[in-house]
Parts: sequence; C-alpha cells; structure tokens
Amino acid sequence: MTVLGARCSACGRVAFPPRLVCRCGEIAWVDAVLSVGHVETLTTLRADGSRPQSSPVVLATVRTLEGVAVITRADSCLIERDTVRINFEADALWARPIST
Amino acid sequence: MTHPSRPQAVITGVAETPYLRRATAVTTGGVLADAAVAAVRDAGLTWSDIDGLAVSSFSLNPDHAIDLAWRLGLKLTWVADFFTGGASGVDMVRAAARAVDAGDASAVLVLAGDHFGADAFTAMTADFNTATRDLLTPLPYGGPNSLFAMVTDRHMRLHGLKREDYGQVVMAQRAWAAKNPAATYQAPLAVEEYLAAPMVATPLTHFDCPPVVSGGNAVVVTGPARTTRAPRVAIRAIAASFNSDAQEGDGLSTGLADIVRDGFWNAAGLDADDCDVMSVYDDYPVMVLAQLQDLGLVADGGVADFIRGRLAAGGYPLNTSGGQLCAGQAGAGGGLHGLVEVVRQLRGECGPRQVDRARLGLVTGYGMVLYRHGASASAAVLEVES
Repeated sequence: MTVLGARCSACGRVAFPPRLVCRCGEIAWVDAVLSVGHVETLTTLRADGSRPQSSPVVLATVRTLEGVAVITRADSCLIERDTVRINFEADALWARPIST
Repeated sequence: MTHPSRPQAVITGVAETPYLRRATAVTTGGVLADAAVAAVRDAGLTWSDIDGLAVSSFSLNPDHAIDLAWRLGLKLTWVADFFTGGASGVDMVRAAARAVDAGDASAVLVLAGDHFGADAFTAMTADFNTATRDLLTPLPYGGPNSLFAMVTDRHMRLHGLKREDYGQVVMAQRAWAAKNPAATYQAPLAVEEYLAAPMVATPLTHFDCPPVVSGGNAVVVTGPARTTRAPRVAIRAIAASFNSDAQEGDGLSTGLADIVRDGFWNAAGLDADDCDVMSVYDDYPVMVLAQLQDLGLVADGGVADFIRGRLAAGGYPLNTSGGQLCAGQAGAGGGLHGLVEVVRQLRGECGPRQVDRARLGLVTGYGMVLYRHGASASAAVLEVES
C-alpha cells in the first residue's frame, strides 16, 4: 500500500505524517504519494522489553525525494545512502532496495 | 527583543523519594505523596499552606492533578497537568512561579514521578501518541531507544566521534554517582566494560539508556516572603520551546538553541559558562552533548575536544547526582530530578559530591518524542540567595 503524505496547496510544503494545519496557517491539503528516498540512518534493534529473545529488527530513517523523514523497517542488506522504495506491508512501513 | 521578566517567586522546598528498580510494593500515587510531604516539610510549610498543585506523571492515568488534589487532601486555587515529558519539571516550575507572582496561588507544590508495573512501560511506549501507535509500534520500534540510536548515529558521523566518546559521558556521571548513595548504579565504569556491553539498538547499549525506576520528585514554589526557610533559591531565568523543528530536522539541535537565540543568557545576565553546577537532561548521552552545544557550553566543532579534554579530566560539575543514566529515570520524575539536585547543590547539602561554592546552577529539560526525537525543551538558571 502506498505511503500518503500531505502537500499544502497554499505553500507547497509536504508533511509526513499528515498534519491538521500547515505551518503556513492553511488547511489546503492534497495527497502526496511518497515512494522513493534514500537511507539517511540505520539502527539494528537487538532487544526490547516486549521482545527479549527475538531476532534483530533493522530500522531506517528514509529521506524521501519530497524532503520528509520517514522511519521504516528496513532490509538488512541496506546501507546508508542507498536508494529505496517505501511501502506499507500490512501495518508496517518498509524500505526495500530499488534494483537497478 | 524583550525578555520575559525574572520571577519573584522562589524555590523553598525539594524532595526525591528513593529510586527503586523493579519495585512491586509501591504505587504512582504513593511515590508522589511521599515526595510531596517531604518537600512541604523541607520548605518549612504546613500541608494547609499549599494552595497550588502541578503534576506530571504518565502512570497517574486515569487520574489527573485534580484527582491527586483530592487524594492528597489539598484545597487549592490553582491546579495544572503537564505532559511535556522531560521538559515538564522546568515547565511546571515556570508556570508555578508565574502563578505565585500573579497571586493566583501563594505556595505551589510541583510533583513529578512514575511507577510502571511489569508491562506498563512497554505499553506506554507502544501507545505514546497517535503517530507512534500508527507508524512506529507496527514496525516494531521497541520504544525510544531505537530512535535515539539513529540520532546518536547521525551525531557520531557529524562530529567524528567514537563509541567510547559517549561512554565518557556515562563514565563521568558514574564518577559522580559513586558519591551519591541514592544512585541506582554507583560502581565505577571502565571503558572496556562500556564497549563490551551487548547492543540494545546499534550503537547504544544499556549503559546509554536510563534505567527505569519507580520514584517521585517534588518542588515547592512560594512567594519570597511566604516562608522563613533559608537559604531560598531564586530563578534568574527560565524559558521553554516546543515543537521547534516540527520533527523535520536531524534531532541534533533542540529547542534550547531557540531559547539561547532568543536571549536566555542575556536575560540571566550571565555567560553560558558562568554556572557553577549543571543538570542537563540525560535521557541519552548524545542529548547531553547536543544540549551543551545548543547552550553554548561546547563550541561548534569542539565536541570531541570537550569530551576527550574537559570531561575526561574529571570533576566537570555536570549531572552531579549521576544523572538519570546512573540514578535512574522515574518516568516524568526525570524532569525534576536534575532540578532537585541543583537546588541541593546550591544549598550546600550534597556531602561528598558537593561542588565548592556553588552559587549559580543550570537546569535543562528535554523530551516528549512525537515521532523522531524530543519536541520539548526548557532551561532555568537558579541562584541561591545569600
């Protein structure tokens, strides 16, 4: 499922997650499909209180072409600056490598 | 530009309950009540003198400040709930001082603390706000550790730091904690032990994450003539900033940068390095360093030099209780922990960890992660009256 940000038709600013009112003061949102970006930062979550024995989870901060930052689950093969495609897979936002 | 005026109200009482790991025999209401009674006694006031109440607590839910007033047996003219996370301690003291100055109350009890049961902390982080519930919990994200792991990674690469540099922040605070019998972790920490710890979220280990404890903190704010308790602690400057970057920046600059840009040090009549003792909110070592930069205490490009020089040399008067990283994080109580420590330092009550001739103290608060990093920041300069 695609990732929907919101573009303000008054000032052009894109927001994710969508906001109620744009910083310019207008409520003039149109959908903005966020699909491609680059990996800005990665972390591997080894353990947490709810999953003490589970396998590692790789998370990424992805900066999309529109300039917004999105936190995603990430393929473990990804490295910083990789170009990725983002999508909802079930409830979770994933970053997958774009094969070239 | 004009600066907000200095409050006339003063801090006359402080308290902190014992911080307990994995406590089972306490309740949120209980730790808040224990802190409240101790702080009112410390202020030299009687219970019926209190006519204002502010509270910050995650686990007090479904109760609020007004429920707490009832349960504490307080009759009030001013009451307020605060949900600004790590910034709430300084925020509440600011609001309390303004309420006292305006005459809406004469003696305000400021409370913060939490007790999380076995799964309550995990449940809170999963449902922290709408964005977290909808976008982070399904990943899963495991609570704020993974978010600050990514902030740390950015900071590390920007400033050319190594893991042991963040370890130095923790080790310096451990050295202070060794002199604080109330700290959860008092044993000295060697760099080898720090580096060998298993990862929680790369590059963070459990040494970089504050231990969750149960506990409460309290402060009493009154008019200058309300109590004969001495010495009183005055507020030289106090300010806050919220949602400064709309969660769109790199998280390496906090709202403190805005506060400083808007004349915080001018309002205090001080330079950044004039304070004798400092409590800088330490949810993670990276945020201590980021705030020191925002405050002007560490020069741009000077982070590595500061860590490997000034901090490594020992005795730098920062987070002298051991901070939350060593003393523990009592939920929202963390927002008052550093303030209570600075007030005690300024009153000369800190025994073996007392900073010589501490007259001016800096306190910061930071927190409330909305999606990627904290959105609240606050700072105060406190001064002991002679």
